[in-house]
Amino acid sequence: MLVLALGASAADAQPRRPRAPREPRVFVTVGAGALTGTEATDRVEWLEHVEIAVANVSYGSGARRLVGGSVGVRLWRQLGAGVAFTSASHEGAAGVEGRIPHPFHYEQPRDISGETGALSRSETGLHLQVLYIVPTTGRVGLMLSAGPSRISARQDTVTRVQFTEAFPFDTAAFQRADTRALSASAPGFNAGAEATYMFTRSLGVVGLVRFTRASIALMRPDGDRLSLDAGGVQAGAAVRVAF
Amino acid sequence: MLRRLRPVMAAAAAWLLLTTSLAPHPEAQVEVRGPVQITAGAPAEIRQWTPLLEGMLRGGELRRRPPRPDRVMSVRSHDRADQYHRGVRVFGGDVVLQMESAQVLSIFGTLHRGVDLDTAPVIDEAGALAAVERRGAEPHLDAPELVVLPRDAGAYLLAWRIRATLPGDIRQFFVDARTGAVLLDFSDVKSQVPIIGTGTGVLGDQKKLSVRRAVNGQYVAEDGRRPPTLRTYDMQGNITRTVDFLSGRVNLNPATELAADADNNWTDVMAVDAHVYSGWTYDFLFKRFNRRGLDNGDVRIVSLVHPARREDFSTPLGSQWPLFFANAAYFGSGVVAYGVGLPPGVTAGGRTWDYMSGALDIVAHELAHGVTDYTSDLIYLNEPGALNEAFSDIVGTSVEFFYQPAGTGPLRADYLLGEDVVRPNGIRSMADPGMFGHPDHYAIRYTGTADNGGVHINSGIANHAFYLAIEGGTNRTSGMAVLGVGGVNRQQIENVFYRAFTELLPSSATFSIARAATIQAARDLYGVNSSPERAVTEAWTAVGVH
Ligand SMILES: [Zn+2]
Repeated sequence: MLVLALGASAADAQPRRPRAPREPRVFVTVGAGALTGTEATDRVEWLEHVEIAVANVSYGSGARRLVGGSVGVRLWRQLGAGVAFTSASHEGAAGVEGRIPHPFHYEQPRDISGETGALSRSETGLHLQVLYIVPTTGRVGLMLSAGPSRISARQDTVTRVQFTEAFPFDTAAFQRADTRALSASAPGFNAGAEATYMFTRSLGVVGLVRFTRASIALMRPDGDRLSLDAGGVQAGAAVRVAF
Repeated sequence: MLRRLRPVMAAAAAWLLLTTSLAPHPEAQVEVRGPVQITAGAPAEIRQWTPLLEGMLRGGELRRRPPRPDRVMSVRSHDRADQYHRGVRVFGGDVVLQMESAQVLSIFGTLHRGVDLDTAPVIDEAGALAAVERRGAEPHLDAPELVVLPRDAGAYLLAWRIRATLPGDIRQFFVDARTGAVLLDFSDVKSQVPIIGTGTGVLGDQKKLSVRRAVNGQYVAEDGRRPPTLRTYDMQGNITRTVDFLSGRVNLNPATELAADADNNWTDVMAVDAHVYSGWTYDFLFKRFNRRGLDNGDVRIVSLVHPARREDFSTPLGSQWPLFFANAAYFGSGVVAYGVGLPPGVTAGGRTWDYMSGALDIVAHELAHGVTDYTSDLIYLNEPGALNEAFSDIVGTSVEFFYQPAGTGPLRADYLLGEDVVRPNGIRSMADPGMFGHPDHYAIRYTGTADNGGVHINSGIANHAFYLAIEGGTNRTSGMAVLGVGGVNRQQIENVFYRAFTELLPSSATFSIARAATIQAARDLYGVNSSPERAVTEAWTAVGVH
């Protein structure tokens, strides 16, 4: 809020200058692209054969499909403010490496490893932006943006691992994972650049690159937390309408 | 200016909205939202809950299931009611009222307060089923049920509950009825799975026990994980009952006579060790020799603990059964009875005697008698009897080395027998039979008639040959040196003796036949002139058996 408030008061303080009629004041952008994934690793523990079983889970880092949009307004000279919304989702298996206690003996765990079925992860972000419109001429434009974000993430998390074992129990095999969807949100930031090519005064295309980041703690019912780096590098193409 | 600021203010408003809607409201949750546990047994507690429950019943928020009669107290019945929110069942929200006539005697349950949820699903049944199918499950067990799913911190979501099969499993999936996402999935197989418990052994050591949960909620010493039935009975010091069973006059009732524990943290040290060590011995026979139990056909193993009470040692009945005190015995058909040891202050042979099941080598020794019974069936008299005893000592010691680190003292593998419960030093030594006055050489063998012709005495000769073949050394009587295969290769000598004693020996085998059979087994397994053959040959020669 601090950045925006300052921006507004600065705009108030400046005398209004006559602006070139071609310069639009408000622009609306809608587009799609991809968000680079971030890996997350987790350690899950549960009681098995009266000892602690452990599974180390690595949630994949595959790129996520991204859709989004933004509204920006030029406030004063080259400065403006905007708000952007992004939504990204991804489905992928998680890798599991675990140690399952032996049913008959203490401290003789069996190693297991495997992959879960498709787990989903989705993120939605609301990004406030201070905009800087780089002075250019012609149809090509460039705009830089930065500001605070609020990112919400939802992740299917592994809660325990099912395995098979048989006498004499010296080995165990991964069978599947029990999962639970967790979600949380956290504040973060965004910074990016957008290049535009305007076909007409009010319609153009945009190529954008944006970096967002928020550290989110997903809380499990047992009180443990899974830390998730939400966000990443967003790259996309969009259509822009300017007024 | 105002116009220009409008988008900024809108953004700020959206920001605030998002932030506040995502932030938790702990004070609100604590007061009116979330699960409430009901445990009401006293009349005042029941009165406190009754108006709420009655109101919920009238309003359709609680719906009764058909009452179930009490099978124990016939005048009572048990009313169960499920919680509903706008016609949708709240998963896990239910109460149980114990009734007598129209009077409520107890209320137990969980109710979810402050649920406020639109119960119209966005995702239909087909969409929810598809989400489960994407997980590789076949959701065709029964129709999806729309439920209110309690989440953490008093949150609730509308979800489709779907039971679905996967290879080897039946699972419950909860699919978000707004987004189609799987919110929760877990196994729904309610098998009578055997249970692992914890227990304290005779020496105060902690171990795991494979047990079962009985219908009455108690845990009982019946191993459900190993292929054979493996049961440990608590004879509760009843000598007569024990004798009646051993003589075939009565059967034991697993429902009432198995060793049992209420919380599965077992404290009957005698039962713990008998049960655990029987299982370990079974595992050893399988892992080392690929043998399936005593008869190689997974015959039952029955352990009897507390066949007597220590304080009955000197009573007329007790003195008839010394076997139930400072001894342990294999009674055939997989049945072993372990002695309870001697009362405080009473010694035998200058030693104190603890619960006999507390020594792994003793348990394995007794069960090895079962192996002999089902194989060579060595006659329990004179030389074959001594070989019978020696084979049990050999297996007992081999099991110790399989599970315990080598060394001296409690829970360490060594060549003493029974040293963990008969203190000091146990009852026999394979390294130095003379320590107990037993012969270590054929020339000084016992030739009297006591002890079935010295079966526990002359066993020292074969025991010592086994020891020398592994560890090497010099026989004290002959002065002959043996080059053993070494402790790291002990498995070779164990395999040689196992093969000879279970496959090759006749029931009337002599020491001389045992020598020839073990040499033959060494050749069979490791080749002519192999180091096991040499070690076994040298060992028998050193103990004077040709
Ligand atoms: Zn014996």
